[in-house]
Amino acid sequence: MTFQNIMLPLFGIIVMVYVFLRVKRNQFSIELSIFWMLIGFTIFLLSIFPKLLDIISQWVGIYYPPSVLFLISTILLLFVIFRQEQMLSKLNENLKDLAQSNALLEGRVKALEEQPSR
Amino acid sequence: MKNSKSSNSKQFLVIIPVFNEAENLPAVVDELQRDLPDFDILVVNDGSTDETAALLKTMDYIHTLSLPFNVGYSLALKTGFKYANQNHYDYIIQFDGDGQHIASEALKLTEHVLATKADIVIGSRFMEASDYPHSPIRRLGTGIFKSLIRFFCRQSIHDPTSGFQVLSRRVVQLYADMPYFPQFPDANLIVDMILSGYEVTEIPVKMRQRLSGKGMHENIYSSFYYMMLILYNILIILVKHLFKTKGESR
Repeated sequence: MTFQNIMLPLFGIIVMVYVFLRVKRNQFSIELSIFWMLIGFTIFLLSIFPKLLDIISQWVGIYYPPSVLFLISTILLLFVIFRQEQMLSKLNENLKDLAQSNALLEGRVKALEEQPSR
Repeated sequence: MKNSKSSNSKQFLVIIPVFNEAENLPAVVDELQRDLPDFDILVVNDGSTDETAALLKTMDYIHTLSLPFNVGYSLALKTGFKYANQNHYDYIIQFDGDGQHIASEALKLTEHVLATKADIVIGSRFMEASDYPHSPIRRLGTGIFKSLIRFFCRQSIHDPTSGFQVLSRRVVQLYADMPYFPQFPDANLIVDMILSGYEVTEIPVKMRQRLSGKGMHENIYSSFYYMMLILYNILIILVKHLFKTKGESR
């Protein structure tokens, strides 16, 4: 057992446990946690079966297996950033809508309050 | 808006979250008013882009809430729970705005909840032989959820994805304040509630096909996403209950 044989699977498990605890304590949404669970699981799987990486690299035709890892992680990270940008822009739009509807409501409440009460 | 109605006098609130249901809504509301005259009706308009908003303005005999943009079924429903909570209703009835649910069948649910004092009563399509059309992929999903509930909760729920439910006040209070209320409040929430010690029962009801338009989870991708999400959600809930320390209630 080398150091990395223990540390890498452990790291994968820590990621999964941490994500689970965040969800359990209601500090992270279940929908978003799936992705990070899968990341933790993949780290765990690859560190236990390093041969998987060789198989994948042969399959996609890349001779140096670690570069497959970099390729996949880069693509995944780009995907995550893109998804976050999408969410951010949507949140931004929602926030603007919310501010406007709030201003309109405040105006209506003020108008109602200024009316002589019947 | 609703000053003419005396508050606190009514026991039941029917919550109808709607998104672009202008075609179906008038028939749904008419039927509810005819068959359940003693129940209050709340329509939560989830940022509809059709004539739903204009339509609701003409219906001043029901309660309405309008969300400034589309927030999704589950949050629209949760908004209704908050409203029910603020106005002290004893029970709420989750009702679909697309005409699938039959108003007179709701009476069976409310009679059952009053008789048994259950926390959640689910209107089930599949307890008796029915001709309700169900796509194969959804039937598979329902079957899986049913077996999971039977295995982990030791209780038979035939229709865990039914949105036709009556909830007691304490459940409504819990849901209204629940952070990260699930995107699809279905089988996952039922598992969670049963494991948390709430009494969940089920009685057979009839349902119709929706009157017009398309419902949620109509294509393969969204059905698949929905199923995976619920399965994952149930897994998380099971692990959560497995590690729950004593004395910690939710």
